Amino acid sequence: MPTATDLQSRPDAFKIPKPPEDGGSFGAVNISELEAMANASSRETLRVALSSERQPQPTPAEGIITLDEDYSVSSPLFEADEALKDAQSKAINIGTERMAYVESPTKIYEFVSKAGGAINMMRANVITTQDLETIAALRVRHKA
Amino acid sequence: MSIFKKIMTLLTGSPKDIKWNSKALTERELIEIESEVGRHIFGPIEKGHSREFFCLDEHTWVWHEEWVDDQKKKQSRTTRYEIHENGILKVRDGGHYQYLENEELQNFGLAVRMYYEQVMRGIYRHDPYTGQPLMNARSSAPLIQ
Repeated sequence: MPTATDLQSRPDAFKIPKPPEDGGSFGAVNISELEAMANASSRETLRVALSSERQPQPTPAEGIITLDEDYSVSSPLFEADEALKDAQSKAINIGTERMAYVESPTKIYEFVSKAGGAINMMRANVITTQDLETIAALRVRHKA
Repeated sequence: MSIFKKIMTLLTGSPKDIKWNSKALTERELIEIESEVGRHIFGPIEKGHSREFFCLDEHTWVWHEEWVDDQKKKQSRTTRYEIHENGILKVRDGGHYQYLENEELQNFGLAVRMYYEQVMRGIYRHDPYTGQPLMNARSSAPLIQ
């Protein structure tokens, strides 16, 4: 379990798992992967839009774009660019959706409910189809 | 007996008491394999601790942790998360019940999402959001949103 020092040096991991200490509070998830996914989506949207719509390409010094936490973008070069506005709008939508998942109890409940069902369905599929190749691969993976 | 077998025995009964057919055995194996993903979602496991986190069935998720305390006594704690119509109920050892809310609910939701995505991709080789095999995971109705 990470120490307080570890956590300070690892901003992507927040809090430590709590069950042993406080009787089962679900206190910790390493969300670095999820955050990276969200950031990648937003940044990719911007990058693709900019690279396809804007010619010629800016020099590195001119093309610095700041993507803030609220997904707003600032760049002297691209301030009035319609393509950028469109990309920014898409990025904001993506960010809003991600945040909505994190913040909305209803969304969390819906996802958790569906995830259990989907996983169960995958198990049943492997079992009922007697996909021996998959089962053999899983057993090898498990033993490894 | 491994920690996983112990917790499964606790939750579903002793394997010796059940006439396992190949289907039941395989499902149990699949859960065990999935749990290898689940136990690492929360980062490094402290030395002396062991952890399991898995989806038991459509409506139940399980957290189990064992560790040795300062008096060198083995401790364990099992927590079930049950999906009910009016929320996610946390059921702890000793009959403590509480619905998840606020930060704890968010953390649980994130853990389930990570488990789901990693299990679907890493074990079952399916796109978690279309349900299609990864090689053909394009343009299909979402499996889950």
